[in-house]
Amino acid sequence: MTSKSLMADIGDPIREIEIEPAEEPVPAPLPLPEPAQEPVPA
Amino acid sequence: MSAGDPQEPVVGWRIWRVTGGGLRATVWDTLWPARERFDARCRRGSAAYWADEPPAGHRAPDPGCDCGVYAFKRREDAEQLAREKVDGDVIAVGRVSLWGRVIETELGFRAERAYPYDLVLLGGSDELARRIRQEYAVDVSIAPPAVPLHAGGG
Repeated sequence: MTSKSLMADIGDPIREIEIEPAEEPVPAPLPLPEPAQEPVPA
Repeated sequence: MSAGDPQEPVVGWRIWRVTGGGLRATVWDTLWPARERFDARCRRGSAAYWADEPPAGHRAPDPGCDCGVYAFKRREDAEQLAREKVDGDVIAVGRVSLWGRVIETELGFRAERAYPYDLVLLGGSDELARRIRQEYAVDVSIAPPAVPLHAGGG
């Protein structure tokens, strides 16, 4: 499978459009893990 | 296609190879990063169309090139491609949001930007589905085992 055969699979171009969503459908990144803390002696 | 509103992404169907590291394109084996927009970059004349190197002079997808993120309009076409790709790896069939520059074709799209919308794993385990669901923050299910054509009856 190559991009050439994929191109054949999806057929000939019909039109070109520009889509600029107000909010991109990408979830927020995972929060960074809390830094490990060494126990504080009493 | 529902591309009437230029503010709403188009949704198409495509497949990915599922590995322990995440979702990978089946043609170029490019990793789709979790929780990050996938940007198509053309590297015409090179081995792959998506990589960390600078674009080769045009924005993807270009009408005169074959670069871009590919997706089908119909689920059946993606499933057919998945059947051709089954070689022991777990394959995900799913919807993908497409935006930026999008070239609509007779049976699909080529797009500039993309992110998975939801996924069905063909094979794999509950643990793999859970991990992909958590990493990519999309719905992930596992397809029931295929029923053999000649099962039962007789």
